[in-house]
Amino acid sequence: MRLRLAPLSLLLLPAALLLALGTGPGDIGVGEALQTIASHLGLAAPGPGLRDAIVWDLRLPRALLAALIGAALACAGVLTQGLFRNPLADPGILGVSAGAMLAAVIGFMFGAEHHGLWVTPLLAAAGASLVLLILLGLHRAQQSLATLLLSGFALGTLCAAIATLCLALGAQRWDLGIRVMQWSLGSFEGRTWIHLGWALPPCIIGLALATWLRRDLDTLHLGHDIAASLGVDLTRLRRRAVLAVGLLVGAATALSGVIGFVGLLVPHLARMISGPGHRRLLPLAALLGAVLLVLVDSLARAVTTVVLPPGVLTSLLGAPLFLWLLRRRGLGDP
Amino acid sequence: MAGDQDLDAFRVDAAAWLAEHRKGAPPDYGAIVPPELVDPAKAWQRALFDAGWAGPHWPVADGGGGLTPDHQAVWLEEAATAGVPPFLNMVGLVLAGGALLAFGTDEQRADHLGPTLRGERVWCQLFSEPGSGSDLASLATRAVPDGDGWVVSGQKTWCSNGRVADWGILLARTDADAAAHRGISFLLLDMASPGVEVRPIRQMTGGSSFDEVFLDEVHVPASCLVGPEHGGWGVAMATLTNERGHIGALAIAVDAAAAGEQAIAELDARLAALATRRPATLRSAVAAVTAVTAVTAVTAVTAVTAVSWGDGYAATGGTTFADIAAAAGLINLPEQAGLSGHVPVAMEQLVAWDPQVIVISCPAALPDDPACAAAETNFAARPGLSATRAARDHGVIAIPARDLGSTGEGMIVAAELLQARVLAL
Repeated sequence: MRLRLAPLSLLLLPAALLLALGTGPGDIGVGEALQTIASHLGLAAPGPGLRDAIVWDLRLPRALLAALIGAALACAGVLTQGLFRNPLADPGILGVSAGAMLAAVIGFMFGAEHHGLWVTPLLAAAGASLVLLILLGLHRAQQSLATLLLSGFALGTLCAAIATLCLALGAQRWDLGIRVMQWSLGSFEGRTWIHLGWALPPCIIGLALATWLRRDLDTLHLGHDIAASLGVDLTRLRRRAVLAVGLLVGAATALSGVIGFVGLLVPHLARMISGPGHRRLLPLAALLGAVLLVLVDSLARAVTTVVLPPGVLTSLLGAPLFLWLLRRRGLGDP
Repeated sequence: MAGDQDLDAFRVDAAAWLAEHRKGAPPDYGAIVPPELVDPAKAWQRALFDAGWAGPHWPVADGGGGLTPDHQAVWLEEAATAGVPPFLNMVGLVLAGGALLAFGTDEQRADHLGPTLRGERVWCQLFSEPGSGSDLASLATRAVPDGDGWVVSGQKTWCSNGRVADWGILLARTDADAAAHRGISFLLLDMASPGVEVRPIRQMTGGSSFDEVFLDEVHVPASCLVGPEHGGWGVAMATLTNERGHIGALAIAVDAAAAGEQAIAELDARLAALATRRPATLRSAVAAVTAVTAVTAVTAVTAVTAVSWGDGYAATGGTTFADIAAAAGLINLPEQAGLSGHVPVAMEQLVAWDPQVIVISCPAALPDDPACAAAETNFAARPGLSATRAARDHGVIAIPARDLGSTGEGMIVAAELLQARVLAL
């Protein structure tokens, strides 16, 4: 059953993207959306300008960015879980996202984003990597999962507290407050081809790194000692995995804000379909992550005229799942 | 009665009396009594009353001299020449007195005007608030109806003589739902009422002539309402016009009510002018145009933030923009779509609405500032937006933020700017 579901899931992403293109105000259905895209590929006559603007300038880059970031967050989740050899590890829960957010907030405070669109993703990646490195430094293989999760929680809380402190110190700056608030809710609103262009390089490098590390991660699953005896350079593996997670979470957080629980929710779903081997797990998780965020963002746009933040929806789904997993698995070792 | 109907004779009499009695007067302290001079100032007011120089232009029935505003102006000049205060304080003898003369009931006049002229009643002014400064229309002090009168809560600041005042003239919002200047009432406040607390404000000069006054559920009886309920803005404008007239140390306007009505009439005339010019005429003139619509997106539209953080908020029903759009004769589309408040609306929704006018805020103070034109250009060039009618036909209009966000006269300025731009389209 596992193997039969995997190819089927390949069809999910195009279906989700079509749904996203046909969802929203303006009476534009899937057919019209496809026609618009065809016209840009030189396959059809151009349609009305407004339809073109909505589909090509707004919905398509937004949906593609949601897909890319969904894939990035899901892969970051797989990497984190592989690295800590624990299925309850997740960049959001471990404070990695909070680290990315803190770095970006500090950047906003000093107006760093005015130096170029690349600054915020870079800062966010650095913040995410830093938290991950501190966690790895604190974490010993023999320690329980509770220690790991609580360390991550403490780091995340610390980052959030410093970010709040920055906000409190800059309280007279209304624009800073509203920007950080919108950002901490997570959103794909107003994202365009430019954002997609900035998200692509770090995400592709991160995804490529993850793919490259998949064998070592499989070996690591057997235990640190066995992996080391099988020739895995643990230090190098960790360094590369941290870099990959930093790039993926950093880019995702910088471009769409904080979208929680994707890195927890999706790898679990993928593991149920493909099994624990990273060769299948990584691409499937990327695919399902992409599908999840495209669907969540479509839902967020479809429910009301008012924009719902997708980060809230993923947390609404993810937090109960986390509790359910905790109850089912407990905090014991994997 | 001192003085004569003849102005010159009145001036001679005043000068003679002042020359004789100025030694008994406190030094001229201006409009506000310094707290330490309150007792000599009260005695001086009593002496003025006894000699017939208190309120020369007030009606005889109210204890005044029954003369004209010109006589009062002469009195002010002669007192200034002699270097003595012309009266106890401006708030009592000009503002409170003026408001009661113009708008007070017979009972109120009988209760207050005599003691005020005799220097037995010191008044303070409770208009300014910490959040609103002198912009009376944004007043936050609330007066909630309570049987016979109101229960008033709020905070007033820059109150002169609050510590020594027996009574205060108070502006409070009696109708929370009414537009800016329409829901305010002008009340008389007994400063000894339970719930009134006065704290001095220490000034940079080291002194403290001003006070903060905290009102915590203070009961004000219905008999203390001056002028119409919810009509306090007109009373206040009339009264303040009095103050301005005095500060110039020139003539006094005893026809203060007329001045206040004139101020309101001017605002109403501007609103009426907006109404007559409403783009209804534009609609019939340009056949293709079905309805004039407007949407606001109050995001900061500087180039960099617009790209990264383009989340837009629309000012929908119940916002000041809804009133501005209505005054200018525009249909606020999101309001029509059933939204209220400042609501995050997706860019694709904005494009799908395709309004003819998109109003954004301009960071500059004046509409002809280059920053406004730059904001319009940047906004119109945003991905997706460039296809809208507003972006194609110069319908992206930047209004200075201070007018767009105003709850006072700035709203009319914003409506006028907006209407002028729409009519020029």
